[in-house]
Amino acid sequence: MNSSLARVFLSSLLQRRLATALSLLAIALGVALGLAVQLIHGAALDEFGRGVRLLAGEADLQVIGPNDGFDEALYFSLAQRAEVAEASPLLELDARLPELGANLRIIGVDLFRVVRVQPMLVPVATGEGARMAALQADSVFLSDPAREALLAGEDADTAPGRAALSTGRLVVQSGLDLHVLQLAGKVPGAGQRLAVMDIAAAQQLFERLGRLTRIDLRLAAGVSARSAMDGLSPLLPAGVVLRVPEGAEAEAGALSRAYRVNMTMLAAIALLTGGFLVFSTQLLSVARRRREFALMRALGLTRGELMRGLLFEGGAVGLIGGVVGVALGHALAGLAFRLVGGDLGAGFFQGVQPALHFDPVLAGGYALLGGFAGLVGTWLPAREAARVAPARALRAGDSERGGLLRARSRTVGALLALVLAAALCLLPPVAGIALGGYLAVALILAAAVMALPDLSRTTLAIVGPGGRARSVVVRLAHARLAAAPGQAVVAGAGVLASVALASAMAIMVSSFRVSVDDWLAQVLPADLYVRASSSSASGYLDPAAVERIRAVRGVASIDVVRAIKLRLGPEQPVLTLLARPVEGGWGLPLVAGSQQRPALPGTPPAWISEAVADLQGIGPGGTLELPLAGQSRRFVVAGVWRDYARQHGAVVIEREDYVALSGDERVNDVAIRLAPGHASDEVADALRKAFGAQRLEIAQPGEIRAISLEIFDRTFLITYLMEAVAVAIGLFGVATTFAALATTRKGEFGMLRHLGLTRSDIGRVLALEGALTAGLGVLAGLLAGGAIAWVLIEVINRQSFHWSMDLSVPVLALGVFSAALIGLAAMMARLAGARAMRRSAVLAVKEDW
Amino acid sequence: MLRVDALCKILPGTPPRTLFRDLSLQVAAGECVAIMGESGSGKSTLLNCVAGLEPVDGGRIRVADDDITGVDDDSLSQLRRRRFGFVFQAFHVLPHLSLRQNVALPLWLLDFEPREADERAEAMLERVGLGERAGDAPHTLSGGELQRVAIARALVHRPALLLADEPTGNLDPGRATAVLDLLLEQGREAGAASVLVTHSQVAARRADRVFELGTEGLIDISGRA
Repeated sequence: MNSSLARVFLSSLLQRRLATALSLLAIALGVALGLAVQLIHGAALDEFGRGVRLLAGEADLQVIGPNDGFDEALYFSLAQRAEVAEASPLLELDARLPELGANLRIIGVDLFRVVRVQPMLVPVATGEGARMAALQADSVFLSDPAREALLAGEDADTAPGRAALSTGRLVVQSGLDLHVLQLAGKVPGAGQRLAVMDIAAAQQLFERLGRLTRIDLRLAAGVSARSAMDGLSPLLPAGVVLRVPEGAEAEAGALSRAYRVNMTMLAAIALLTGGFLVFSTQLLSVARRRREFALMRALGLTRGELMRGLLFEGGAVGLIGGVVGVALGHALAGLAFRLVGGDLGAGFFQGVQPALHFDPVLAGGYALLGGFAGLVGTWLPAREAARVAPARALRAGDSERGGLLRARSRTVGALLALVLAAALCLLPPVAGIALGGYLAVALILAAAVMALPDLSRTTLAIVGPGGRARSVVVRLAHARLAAAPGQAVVAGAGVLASVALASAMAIMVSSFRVSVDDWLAQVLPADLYVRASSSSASGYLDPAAVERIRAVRGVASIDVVRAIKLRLGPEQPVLTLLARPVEGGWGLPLVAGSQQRPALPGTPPAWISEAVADLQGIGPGGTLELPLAGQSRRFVVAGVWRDYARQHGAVVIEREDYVALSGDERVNDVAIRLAPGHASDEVADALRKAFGAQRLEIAQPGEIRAISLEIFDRTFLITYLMEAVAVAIGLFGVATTFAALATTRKGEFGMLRHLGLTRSDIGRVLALEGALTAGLGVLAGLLAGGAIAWVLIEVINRQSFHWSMDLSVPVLALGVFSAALIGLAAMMARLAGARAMRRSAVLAVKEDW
Repeated sequence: MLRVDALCKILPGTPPRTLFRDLSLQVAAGECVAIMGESGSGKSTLLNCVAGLEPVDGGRIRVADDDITGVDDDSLSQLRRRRFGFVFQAFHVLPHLSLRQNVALPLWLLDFEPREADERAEAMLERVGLGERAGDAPHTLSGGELQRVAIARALVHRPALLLADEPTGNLDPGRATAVLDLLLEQGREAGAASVLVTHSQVAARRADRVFELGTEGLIDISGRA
């Protein structure tokens, strides 16, 4: 196509500025949301990966174990191996800072080894006696980001802690004891929030004598990581694994991948809605420009050139929308970093401070995606335009009769799409991503759009009295929709897509929230909860402390929990092991099996969460090997329980089995049941008095529930925003469709005015048509939304997060939302038609174009 | 310039209706032929068949040296852009293009340089008396003026054949005469063979020959019209 002809098509876009601008905006929003999600997670992952690489320094391999640690004898045997040039032992802990109400990652390092393997962790002393400071037992070195973060709070309770920190004093908790450390300097190489101290001092301080959590290895020249792993793996005790440092990066990526894909899919649906909008505006524009195209064809434009010209129009709108979207996406990502952090509030990358980078390939890709959406949206209308018979279209009196506006029945296609969607739901996940589920969602949407003409006919037949109503306004609106069901398709498709998305998300989120709430009530049956620290490593309660709690006045009975993190293999995510009384203890939210100890002598029982059941492919009666105290122990699965707290799985075992196998009698959490006549506040005060105010975290179930639900709502905030965007795009669709239709119907309106209808009568006709069209879109959208919600709950969430939930439909909220949308659509339709109605009736009937 | 031999057109339906059969016509370069007939007699359909916009059920049509029967759709499009000019009853001037651009449209399709296309379009507008308004938008023009724009567009690329379907049907008698004179004058000047479909006796009288269309073909009524 030459540039002059391109101008003919482009000038048509300028002619209908409003519709073009709205289509462009819709695509821009879809692109922006998708790109923002990608940018935010990409930046957070990059930053996390950079941190991992920096901290690993020159290490070729890392030995990692449970957060409880492993025997340091392993270090001595590895250091002597020929494959290993240097080995650097580390003890990593999340330490509680009671005065500051925060946790800090403390890394104990061997100062002579760390220089050769992880130079970024080398502490630099400042002040007097600097030379020997690093070797002193009470010296700690703080990275700049950690210092900034700790000093940043404004809470009055932590003000003394901040004052102490600025004078060089840091109080850490170990067990229930507090220790004062001296700030001896900085860790200039570390860009993360952490502190470094001498490993021997850390072992002593946190009562981990002889324990390590990590060993970084630099391999001898000529030894590959693969061959070293083969040679060294047999030396490792159970639960301790070897991996390349990049493994941590991949693990973080995998951890947030399902969440990221979910978000990207939401953005894709917003983009799809934008594509629908391009489709409806192009379709109407094609219907309106029928004679223009017929003329061009009569003048010698080929069908192919006409189709290419229209695709060029759609592609141009899409591409410009894509470019605007890329700019908007960067702005959104920047805003999100400032407001909710690098994980969109989901809590995957705590302590990571990502920065936004411009990636030309990514930006170009997303801009092209916008162009693609424009092309796809234009494809059918362009094909329709190219099929127009010029001789008929040029005949005087031939009005807009676009083929798609006639809307053929496609119910068979819709049914086929639904059958295919059902089949796709049965597919297993691909690399942890519920691909079949996402495709099923797209097919359900397509089926709903295809079924819209027949749904429109059936609904209008059911509400048939409209056609015989006394009011001419009702009769006209009814007749128009009955004669042109395609209008419902074109205007309703955008509403349908956005309502389907919004209602599906609303049903899913409501089901999830109700299930989480029920689950919290079930897992928090006690009156009061006590723990030494929110991190299970540095804070714990020993048997003596547990007995002291039991003896506090008002305590009727207690249940204790020990929580440790461990790995089943190098490629496996971190699993939480919870040791607590099960049989006779408080209830587990079981979905399969029972709480009874199975009759299998010699093999203790374990109750696994749904994630473990899915990831390991086991169920009740199966067996599970768990590494405890350096040895692999076999457990028989007695039941499967629902756990919304740990996405990568948790295993519950009887505490007495755990103590017998590991010898570890420490506990992390204590659940207290109160004696009759005692209030929880009174017992909490007594506990604080007995142990010291800052050493115990005491919470009532109501507080934990409120905090949990607050985190839940924050996580879903971004999805509410995306829904709002999709709904706005759907309303744009109604506005542009009615604006375009009103323009093509100027003659009709003029004629009606000649017949005696007032302007406001015509306005009411338009409003009623808008309401009916949106009503049909809402109806189909709710049906599709229900089906999509089922796929989200039973397929996508099960496969991505391994969470089951009970269905809960927010009927009232959906009803209010639907009514508001229909009202808004009626208003939009009336406003959109107002311009066409302002024209002189005499001119309107005489006008040819 | 135009030669139609034994043309046949049957409209589909139950039963099918023969619009015309064995229809023959020759129009020389610079000659104008008017075709009259009752409404529904198939005048416009004949014009569309000649333009290759509707398929025929028999016979041949040649324009200059090109046979347009049995040619595929794209080749017909190419032929139309080179050889044909059209004037319609309803003007069909594109609302989003200026007068200059509307007239230049056929030249754009023929890949003329934009500047040359503009110059020729302006010259053509000058010849139909609208030279001063080349940059104006169509909605500022009266019906007669719009039809003059359509005539300029029909002739700007010097077509071999000019087809006009009720070109004065939407105009008052005074304007109709002026527009018709312009159309015939410009057509003759360009050396185009013109076929004019009309209900108007006044319009028909200005043609070189006048035919009446019936199911048996064209009857020369030049003396009676």
